[in-house]
Amino acid sequence: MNDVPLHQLRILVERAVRPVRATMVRKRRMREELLAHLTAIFEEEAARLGDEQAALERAAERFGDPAELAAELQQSVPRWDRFLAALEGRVRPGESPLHRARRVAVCIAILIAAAPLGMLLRAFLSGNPPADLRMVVGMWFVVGTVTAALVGVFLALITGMSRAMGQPDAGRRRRGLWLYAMASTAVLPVLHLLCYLGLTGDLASSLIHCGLACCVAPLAALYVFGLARFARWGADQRRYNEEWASLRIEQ
Amino acid sequence: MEAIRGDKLRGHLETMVLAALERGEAHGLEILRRLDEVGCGLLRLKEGSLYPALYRLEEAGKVQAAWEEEPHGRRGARRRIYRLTSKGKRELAKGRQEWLSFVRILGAVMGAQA
Repeated sequence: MNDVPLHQLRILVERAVRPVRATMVRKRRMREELLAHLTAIFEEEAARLGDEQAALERAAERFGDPAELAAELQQSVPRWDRFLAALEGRVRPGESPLHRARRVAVCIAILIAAAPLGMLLRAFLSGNPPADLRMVVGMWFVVGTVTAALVGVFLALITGMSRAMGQPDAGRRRRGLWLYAMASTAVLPVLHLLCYLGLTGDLASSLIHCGLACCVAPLAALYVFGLARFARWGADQRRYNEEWASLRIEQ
Repeated sequence: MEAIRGDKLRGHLETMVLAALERGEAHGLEILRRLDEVGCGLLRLKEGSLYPALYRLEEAGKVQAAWEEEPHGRRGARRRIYRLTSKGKRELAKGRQEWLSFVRILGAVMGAQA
């Protein structure tokens, strides 16, 4: 098959899939499977009719109206997938990786903060406030900070590396992000120590906590390795999505 | 005989797909071929409509799907091979009972028993 019919078949598929609210992974599956089907019926019709244009028309007719199919596909998308798709939609095109990481980290820190706040409020309202409020607030602060920082580093790496792989300055940007990740991972145990010591004034238990944080640090190597693999997958996903998004599907 | 179009099949499509898969695992086009064969070429289904039904069945655990290893003669796109699960088999048996009861009751009402 030459490129013209394939392009036409891809447009038909994209007309059905693009309006669907679903995650990128699910839509990719829909695209690939529908394209395989359309290609097969096109080849069948081309062999029967001996004319590519007529075969294209016949394949489109057999496939059905893309708008109707889009509505049917939408109904097949579970609610949890639509929710994840809405989260994916929060990713702003053109936003820098570090900016995106910071934004997501702030959201997660707020979510983390909201849970203990609710618990504390409930404890106060029920007339049973916690015995050591300073300790509760300290733990809450440390856990929130560490989680938000790690999530920030994680997202910066993923988005930065996957974007970098498709761009000419890939090497420099990737090295910068790796340095940022490693430095942040090293700084975290110290930050942990300072926060804990400042809030509790107990050096012994602060050192134990810092020691625990240091034990976790070597895992960073594994974590970065995993991220590199994930980033490659992300880069592939991005290229795929951009390719399909560039199709002009207006009739 | 008059052809049966997609809108009349809509409520029964999922059970029909399960019945087609009872003969063994298959990709979408093969499922349609099986339906066409049994329906003597009188089923007029828009082929794209098969996939939302397959996705719903998969989500409900009535079929399982796996990507084929390599595309055969098509450029870039792979097919998914579907197979019936034990839940799907139970659902098919239930669907058949419902259909028999439907035909019996409506046949009696219309004075045209099968």
